Amino acid sequence: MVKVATSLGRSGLHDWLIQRLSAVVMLAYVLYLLGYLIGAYMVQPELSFGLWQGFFARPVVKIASFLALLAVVSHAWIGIWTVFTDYVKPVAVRVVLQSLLIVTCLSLLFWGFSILWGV
Amino acid sequence: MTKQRPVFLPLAPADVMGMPVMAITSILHRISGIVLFLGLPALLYMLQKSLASEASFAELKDCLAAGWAKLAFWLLLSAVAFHVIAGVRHLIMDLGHLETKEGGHKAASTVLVLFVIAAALLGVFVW
Repeated sequence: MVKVATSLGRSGLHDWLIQRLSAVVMLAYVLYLLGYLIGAYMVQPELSFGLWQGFFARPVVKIASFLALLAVVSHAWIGIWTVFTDYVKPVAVRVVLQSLLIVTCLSLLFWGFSILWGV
Repeated sequence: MTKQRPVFLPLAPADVMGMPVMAITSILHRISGIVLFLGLPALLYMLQKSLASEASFAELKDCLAAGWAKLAFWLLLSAVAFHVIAGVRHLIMDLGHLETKEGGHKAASTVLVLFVIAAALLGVFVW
């Protein structure tokens, strides 16, 4: 068994499952957001700050948005990890890049969290 | 001297760069994924701006009115559209469908057609 310390799920099967689960979560969120935007457009073509902020202030939307962001970051972690293992052959360079990837994903997650909870 | 020679136009997607259509959707899925990861900080920054205050919301709207900003925003949204559409194909294949040669060909072509329609609609929305 090959040990992959920088992958998210620690095994190919875990990564595969996380990749699919996160995809379904994001798909649902994208459709939800699209539905909201189309609905809002029908009522009032020009999107206003009040409407937009009011939408993200709803607890349900906050939770959905955070789950979607968590899905994005997990999905990107696995996806970009795969890209690195495919194209970056020197191990030292790859470990550095994958470490940066992990730090970046976690930073984006906490940044997004602070944005969503600040509304 | 005029030469009236036939010109070969690679119109069928299967002929582009000698790649089968499944290979094209596959590499575009990967490229759009990388683009989205790189664009994620920009998207979060826009979300922050749009939600911070009425003034920053208006500021962001002004920024997005510029031609280059519209193009960049449209490219990002198109990358989302492609990644989602091609991703749905992967999910359908995970369920055991469209795994034959003809099925795969048809599904990949459908992904490309749906993407062109989505990109056009997003263009209308952005401009």
